[in-house]
Amino acid sequence: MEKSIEVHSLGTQLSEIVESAFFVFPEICLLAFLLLILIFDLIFRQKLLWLFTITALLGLFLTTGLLLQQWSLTAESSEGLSLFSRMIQLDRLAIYFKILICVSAVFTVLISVNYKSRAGSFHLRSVKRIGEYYTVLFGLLLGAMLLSMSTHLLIIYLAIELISISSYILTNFNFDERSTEASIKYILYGGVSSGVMLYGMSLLYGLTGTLDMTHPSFQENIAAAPMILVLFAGLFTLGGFLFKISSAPFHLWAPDVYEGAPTPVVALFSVVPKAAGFVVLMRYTAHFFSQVSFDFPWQTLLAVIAIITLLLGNFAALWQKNVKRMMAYSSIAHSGFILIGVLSTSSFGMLSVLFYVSVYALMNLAAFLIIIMISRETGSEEISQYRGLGEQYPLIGVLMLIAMISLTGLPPTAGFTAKLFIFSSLWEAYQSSDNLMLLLLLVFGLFNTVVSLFYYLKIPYFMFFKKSETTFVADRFSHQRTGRRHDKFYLFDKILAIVLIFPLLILFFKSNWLIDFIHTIPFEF
Amino acid sequence: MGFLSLMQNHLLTFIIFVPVVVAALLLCIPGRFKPVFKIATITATAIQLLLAILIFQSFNTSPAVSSAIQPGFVFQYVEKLDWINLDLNTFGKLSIDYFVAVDGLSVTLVGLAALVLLVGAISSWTIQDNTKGYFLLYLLLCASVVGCFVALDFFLFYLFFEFMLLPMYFLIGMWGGPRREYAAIKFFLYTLAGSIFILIVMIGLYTSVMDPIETGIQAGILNDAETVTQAQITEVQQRIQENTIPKNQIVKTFNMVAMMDRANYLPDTLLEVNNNAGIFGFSARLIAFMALFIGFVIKLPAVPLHTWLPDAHVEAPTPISVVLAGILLKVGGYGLVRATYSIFPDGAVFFAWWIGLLGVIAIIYGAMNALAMKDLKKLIAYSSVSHMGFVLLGLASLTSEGVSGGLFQMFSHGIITSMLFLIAGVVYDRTGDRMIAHYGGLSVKMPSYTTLVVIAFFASLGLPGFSGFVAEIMVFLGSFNAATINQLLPRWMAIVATVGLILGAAYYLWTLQRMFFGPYYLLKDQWNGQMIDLNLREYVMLIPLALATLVFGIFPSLFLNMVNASVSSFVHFVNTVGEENLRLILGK
Repeated sequence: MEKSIEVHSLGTQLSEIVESAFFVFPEICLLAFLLLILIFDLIFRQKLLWLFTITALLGLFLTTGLLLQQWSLTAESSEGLSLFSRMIQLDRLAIYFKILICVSAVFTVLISVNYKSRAGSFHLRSVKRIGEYYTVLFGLLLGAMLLSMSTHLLIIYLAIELISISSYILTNFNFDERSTEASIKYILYGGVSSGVMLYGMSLLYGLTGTLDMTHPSFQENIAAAPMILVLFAGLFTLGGFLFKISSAPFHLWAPDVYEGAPTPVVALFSVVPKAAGFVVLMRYTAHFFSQVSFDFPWQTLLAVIAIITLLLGNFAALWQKNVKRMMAYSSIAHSGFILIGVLSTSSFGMLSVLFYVSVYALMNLAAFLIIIMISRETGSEEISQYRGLGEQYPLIGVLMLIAMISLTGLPPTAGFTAKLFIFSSLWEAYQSSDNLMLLLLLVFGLFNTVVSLFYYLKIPYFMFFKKSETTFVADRFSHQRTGRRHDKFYLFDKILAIVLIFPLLILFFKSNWLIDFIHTIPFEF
Repeated sequence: MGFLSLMQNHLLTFIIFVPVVVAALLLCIPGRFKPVFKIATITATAIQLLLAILIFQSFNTSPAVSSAIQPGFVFQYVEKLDWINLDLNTFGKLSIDYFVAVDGLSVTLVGLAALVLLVGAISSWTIQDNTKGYFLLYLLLCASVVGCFVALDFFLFYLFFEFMLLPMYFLIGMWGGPRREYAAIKFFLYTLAGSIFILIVMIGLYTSVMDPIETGIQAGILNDAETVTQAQITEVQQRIQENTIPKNQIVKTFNMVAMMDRANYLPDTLLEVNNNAGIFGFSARLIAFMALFIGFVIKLPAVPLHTWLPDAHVEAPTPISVVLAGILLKVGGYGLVRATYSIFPDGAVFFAWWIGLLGVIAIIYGAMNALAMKDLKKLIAYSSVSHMGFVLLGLASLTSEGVSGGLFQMFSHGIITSMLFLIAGVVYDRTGDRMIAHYGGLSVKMPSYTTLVVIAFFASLGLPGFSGFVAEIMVFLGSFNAATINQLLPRWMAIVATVGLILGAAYYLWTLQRMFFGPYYLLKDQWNGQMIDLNLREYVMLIPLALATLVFGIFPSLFLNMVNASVSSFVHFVNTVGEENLRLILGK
């Protein structure tokens, strides 16, 4: 298909839409399953609960299959397709992220299976809202998939709103006070940042006369426009993206939402919207920042944002007592790390971003799964409740330890390799630009690892170093022993945790297994 | 005998991975079979020691400099396998190898590590709670320590270097004394901070260094890695300097040997010798030297960065103190020799005076502190700080005597300090108390123990006839002669350092007098029944160490023959290349 199709009449427009529809088959499939679940919900309300989970998984598998097919169809050198009159861009970058999103969603569903909220109000095996849960979840996925393809500001806005609104609803799925409060906070922050972003976009439209970032006139007009206006427009728009990746100064929602929302949903929040946010950020930096004509130190700006994000995330995490809040700040800090790859702008930088995001998805899903498993047993999400668990359940303890080590970024885990690549790309960027801010970021970022060690190790610290002081766990256990299971953890969860943790080790020893995939993505937008 | 020849060719791989395999097997055994874990661990470390002896036996002490790719360094038992090969777009290609080998600088430390690890394993016999976890961690520690001494790929080295922290953290934190948690986290944070310095430099290095052989193959200059001539390598290096090899054909590498040759640095990279850009007006190479130096010196440790050591030592259980002082400190010293000095010889020459000063300060300050300590283990910990100062001083001198002396000091300190910590463990096992003032006249009750204590103390304070004496004398000679040989150190440093010897004699003799001689005294009466002389297990641990320090003290050539060839090429390399590089860097 030609890259630049000028749109003239309704007829050509229609035929193009029909043509383009073929290329969004995975999204159509996802949408179809969304509707299917909705219909099931109407028919089988409160009955056949497993059917919903099976259907959801089936839908996700099918979508992933279609995406893999898309991946194999796109030749390595192709520049990507512009679809729907240049509304979205289908390239390997987008497909990679869409696969990542779908795989994370599969794991999220699997994690949700045995989740039970504190008040027991959200439990997929016993609650009537299961249909709604999956419907909204699919809506979020759809938005994320759309966002990873979009190069058109309007679509970006729509996709972000779709993600956001679905997120607001999902946040409330615990149906308790905390959850509702978090949801409201999320809506408020989300609304403001959406508004700011929309304002920026409207300015951009006013300056350039187009919403299509890839359009030549967009870039020409940006280059010609007055500096102050471009700056305002650009930074406002950036704000919306920073909100999605929970980077400073738009990170405030994260801790409350992470604490209040159901844990599987949090696992999803920490991966999917963030991944999609990073694609759009990568496209935005390529199309907008590198086009501004005047000498604007945007790399320095992003470096400062990254430093602040790292600082806030890591230091705030130090004081957390609730494990989910801690993970919220940790995910903020990780955004800072990934931002480093984005601002390096080399194709090596992009590659390391993709690697990092993939590894990060694994680590976070694994960590949250274990958090769910433990909180079901201890009935609490306080870190201090982890005392002695490592000796009682060595397997869970070791798996959690590996996840935490990987989040810190120590060998022999993929978290280390990911950090190594990110910082190598930063070093390269520093060498070619001589921007001292980048060197500062390098040193600063790496020393943040030491800070992060302190709070990540807190969990293994409580699990292994502290003896459980009361025997209440054992008491509870003996009460429960009348029940069905001997071990307190579901075998299913344990296997799932191993499946998630094992690649973290594999990808350290054989990082080329993933890199060889990512390498085939042409990083030219 | 396929297996034997396989083992012969892969001795180093075996010595690293025997503990890992044993650990994997033990993982399947339920934790209640406690003796199994103990015996298996002792067996594994004994096999390591056997392998180390095999390596010693067929180690060629005067190898001919034959291969062109190794600038002055000759490695033996080389094993090099492709591990990770990445194609990173514009960044070029990246190769990480499984590259292990030994030379004179590392082979003695491998032997030391094997010996101390075996002693540590025997000493771990008394561990009662969570035996399975303890011994699994111990085995992992064994593997990573030895791996650290033989790895020549920076990535591999860093992997082992970092991986040591985790088992150590848990071993101190779970089986240690009352303040174990504080000590464990302090140890972890300090060393991790140090490794971040190393990591920064590692990133800088591998992004700027290419592998001449693999790049040559990529660029079509070479056909295969087997038949490489010096001329071909020079051609590749020249074309790199002329920028005529396209970027995506350049193979970047973590190979430390490649990093030692300045012709392998890509032009216009910060760490390249001719690059004048620098950071804040300082040469990037000198800054990188400093960073790497700090990273390893934390581990060594030298004075301003040593505060983790007394805590970690005091809180760690006896076997872990032994391993910590016996080998882990040497990893720092070894890292200085292998990485810092060999990759940045310019910095070694440039900062020689300061490093020497640090060494002298460590010697005096450590000794003074030891003099003031009331806890026997703390006293030994500070004596370690003092003795590691000799390593720094010897290295700084960049003379053959000084460097050999520094290496010898590491080796002999490894043996002696293991003994000292075991000795401290003996009283601690019996009473749970290590305060010097709480004991008196122990020689009455425990004569054989006292004999071994006297041997260990005298060995440590540098009495002639023990290995410590030879090592320290060589360091003095080296640092004294540096003033005439390469003008790097002033004479007063050697002279001031001798004060350390006197202080050493003071704190050891004083301790001996207070604890072992004079009237018999115990703080608590109920200890009286527990003051029994050494048991068989303690003899088994202490006697070989005592013999080793005597043997190496009387026949130092046993050690020096192993290192001489490598040390002289090392000293020659660092001096000449360091001077040349420094001239280029400073633009003289």
